[in-house]
Amino acid sequence: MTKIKRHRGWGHLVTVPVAWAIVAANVLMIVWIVLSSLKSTREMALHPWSWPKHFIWSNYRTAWVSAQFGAGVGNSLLLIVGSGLACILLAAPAAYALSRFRVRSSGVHTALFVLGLGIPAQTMFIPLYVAFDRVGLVDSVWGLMLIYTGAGIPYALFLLTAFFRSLPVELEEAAALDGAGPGYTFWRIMLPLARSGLITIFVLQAIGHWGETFFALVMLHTKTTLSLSLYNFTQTMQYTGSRYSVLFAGLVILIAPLLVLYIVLGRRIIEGISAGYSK
Amino acid sequence: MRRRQPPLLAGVALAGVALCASACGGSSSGGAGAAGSGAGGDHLTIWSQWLKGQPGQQFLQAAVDDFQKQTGIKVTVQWKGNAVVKSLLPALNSPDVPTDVVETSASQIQNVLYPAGGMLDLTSAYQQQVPGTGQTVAQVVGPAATSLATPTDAAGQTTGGPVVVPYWASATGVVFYNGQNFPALESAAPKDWDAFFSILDAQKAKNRRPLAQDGSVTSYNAVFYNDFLASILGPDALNKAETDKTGQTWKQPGYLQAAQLVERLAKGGYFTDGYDASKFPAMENKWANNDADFNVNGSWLPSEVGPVAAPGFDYRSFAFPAVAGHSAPPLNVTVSGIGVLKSSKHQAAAEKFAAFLLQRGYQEQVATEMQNIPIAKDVPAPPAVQAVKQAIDAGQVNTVRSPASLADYNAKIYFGLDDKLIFGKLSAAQFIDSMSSDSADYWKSKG
Amino acid sequence: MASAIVVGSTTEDGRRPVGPGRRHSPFHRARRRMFVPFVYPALAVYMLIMVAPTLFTLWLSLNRWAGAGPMQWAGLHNYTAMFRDPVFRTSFVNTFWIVVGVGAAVFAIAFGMTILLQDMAGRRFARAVVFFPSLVPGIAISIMWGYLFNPDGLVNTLLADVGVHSHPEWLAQDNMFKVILIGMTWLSSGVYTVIFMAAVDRIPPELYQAAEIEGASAFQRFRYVTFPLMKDVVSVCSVLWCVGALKTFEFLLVFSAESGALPPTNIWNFAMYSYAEAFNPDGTADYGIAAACGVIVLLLTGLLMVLARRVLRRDADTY
Repeated sequence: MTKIKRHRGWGHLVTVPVAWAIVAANVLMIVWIVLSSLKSTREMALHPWSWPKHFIWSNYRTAWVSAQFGAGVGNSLLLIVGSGLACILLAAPAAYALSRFRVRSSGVHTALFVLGLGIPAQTMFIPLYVAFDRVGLVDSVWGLMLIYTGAGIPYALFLLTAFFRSLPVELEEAAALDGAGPGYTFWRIMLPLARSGLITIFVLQAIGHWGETFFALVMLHTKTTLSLSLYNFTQTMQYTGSRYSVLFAGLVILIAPLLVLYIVLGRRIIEGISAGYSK
Repeated sequence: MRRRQPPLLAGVALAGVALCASACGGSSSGGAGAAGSGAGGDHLTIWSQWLKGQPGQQFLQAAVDDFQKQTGIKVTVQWKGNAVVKSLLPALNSPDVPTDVVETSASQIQNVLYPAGGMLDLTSAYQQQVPGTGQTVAQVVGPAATSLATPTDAAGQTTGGPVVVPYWASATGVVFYNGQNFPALESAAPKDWDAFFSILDAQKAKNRRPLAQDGSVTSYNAVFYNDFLASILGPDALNKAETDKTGQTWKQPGYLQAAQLVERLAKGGYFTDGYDASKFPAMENKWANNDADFNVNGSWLPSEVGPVAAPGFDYRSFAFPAVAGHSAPPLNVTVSGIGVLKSSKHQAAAEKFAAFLLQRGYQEQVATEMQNIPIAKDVPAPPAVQAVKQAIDAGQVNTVRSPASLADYNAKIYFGLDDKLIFGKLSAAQFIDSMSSDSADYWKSKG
Repeated sequence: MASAIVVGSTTEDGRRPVGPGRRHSPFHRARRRMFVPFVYPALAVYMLIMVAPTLFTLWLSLNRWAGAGPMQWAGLHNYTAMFRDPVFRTSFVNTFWIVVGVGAAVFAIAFGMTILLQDMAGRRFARAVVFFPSLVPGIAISIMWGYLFNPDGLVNTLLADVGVHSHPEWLAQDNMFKVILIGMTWLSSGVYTVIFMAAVDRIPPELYQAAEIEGASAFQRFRYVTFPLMKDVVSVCSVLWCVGALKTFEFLLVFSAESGALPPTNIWNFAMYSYAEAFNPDGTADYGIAAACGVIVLLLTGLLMVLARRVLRRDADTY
């Protein structure tokens, strides 16, 4: 960080508290979600903003066992790790070639990929189901993983082309002078340099797919994911009663891994974002 | 550099594959249904609207266990939750539909799965004997519920036999109250809205807003106009006006009278403060804590507000009263139960299971374990909704349904204007004028 | 011909070898041979998962279909019916508000926060925290929204404590969409704040020193140093925002209706319109109209692509 003392206007006295108020609101929201998960549903409905009278830790057991949040955790982990890695392995070479090989059709190819950012899920699930059904990928975590991978490619490619473009060209030329082929240059030199960008993509995809319910609902029959269990739980409250506190325990279970991921990898993500977005 | 054309070509080729795959799936989905023998060795798969841990799931699981023991038919249940129909629809395109039975509400089956050509006509299943009752399925289910389990077209005509064997029912337009606060009402429910208005006025005189209403739920708001109109002009009056392409039917006097009753409720200060600017379930939760006296809702309300309600709350109910001088509107009932897929290879076993659930013992459990209304006529419902059950048993059931083809109209025209009426943003006369002109515009746009 | 110099482009552009001689070197020939093996695996998966179903959607938009069973040819009827539908026009206006209105607010807040946090103590902590809301599922926000804005909710209670008794009915239908827009702004601005702050970190401190010596105010520093050097980030972000915002959907659904029902039409956007045609709980699915609306969204995305290409063109070998 810069050490120069900058000129501060009196405006700072007004605006800095505003910034901190926004930060405080976000912290309070997380605290509120956690506290709500420890109340009884009645207490939560009648006194949503009070401190819990008793901490009801059993809400977590109820969420984990009877609302089946536990059953989906393994699948969710497999899905985000698998689809995240697959997406990067596919998109990174493509993004590299599109941004660095200077092939005439690069622009068209890139545009084709990026157009995928606009495809809405509700219009593509039926043909996907039919096609996957033919090849036995319905009710399969692998099939869902393939969808998440394919759906993630436009975003990953969009950011990674910008990222690779920002890397200095001299490295490749030096490698070429040493006799390295494009494959070697990519896997051994460029990919490691792009590490923070790759981690960023991985984490952003993980955040997106961790909470995905629509494709999971349609493609899985006997299996479940964490977010699908949560979705089902909210859908059933009409007949079993609005057990909001158990719902919030489930939400904490859903959010906590993301929060940990973000805190552990936070610095890297931010590095990746800054490099990735500013080409 | 001309050889870089493949992406487009590849895309078209792949799309061709997908097109063919789905088109072929669409046409072949109906054909696979060779009826199984129903003997042992069968393996029945059920997709259920319940989820593990719900009372409905516990009830159904116990029944399934008994069924397996008694018949030797192996049963696998997938607990899919409310989204069961949503996740089954795309699978109908498959030559290998993943379930034999779908267990959910008749309206979902009729609106979504039946038009897609997926459901089996259960006319023959209705002729089976229900074990231990000496009655057929048709007799236990009764004519009103059978009618609700039978698909109709846009004009309200049946298009075949029933596609669902229901085992429980729910009703909307039910007025709930706390029996502790109004002990007299249990034996003498208000005979019409004049009587009910005087009860409400008495509460208002005590500075209370007596009617809780979650205005954020449009379908709850529509109950008032629907039922006022059904009482005044009969249950088919709404469909008649909605399908009139000129919109002129709305100008007939009964339609205005029904709107005036809603206007009276809206402008007379009967609804809880903030009913038009709150988020479900805020208002029914207030009611469950005695901040309001009555809540017009569905038969599921006691279990829904259970975890939030004041201790000792005594749920009681009566059906939506008549408009003075008219007969009471028939109850709006939804039935739920067993639908069988056309593609199933175990149809006989599936039908047997449908009849199995209608045995007296299981029907009693629907009331005691599931806390819902059993379909069989003489089996009592939970005390909170016993009054509703009596009305159903007496045949006061609305068998005129809003056809699926009007769902779009309701979402785009009726619900929006009705919300404005119940929130007091439109007078009764303005409401009628808008319904009339917007209906005409809507049908004109549909061509 | 890509313009060689684009305002605000970074120095990498200058270093890139240009000229026909370099294009035909063995180095470039070897790389071009690898183009297909590098790009086509991703392209194949993408075509299979995304493009093929989309072409099917195009076909579907010309038919009437309940999701299974027979399909009925409808020609352009789905499109004409949709364009005549006043709710479709409402959806268009609302979509516009989300993409442009919320977008402007999000970017303004993200800029504001970036300036404010630029040299504030604890900025790392603040940066981590503003990202939180994007991790929280909509359903939690939706329930909290009720407790905040219900008539006896926290907002009104606090307002009453400070003596304000006349306030809007936050959740009334006329205001609901505005309150939802505010919620969206809050939830989205954190992500962009993080991105913008990261971009600012890459600006060499010497530039600020120079500005300091010139006696520039905080606003002037932003106007003449920070903003020009963030231009690329902002343009990439604005493309991403637009395509994401066009598809906004779950947020509207969980905010406005109880589970399984549709929200009132005055808050529908294109994505909700499409969803309602396919999943109206009381009706038969009409995938033809749902698909037609999806095609419109895709066309709008295509329009935004023009913008995307302007961002990408500088370095791709277009001509």
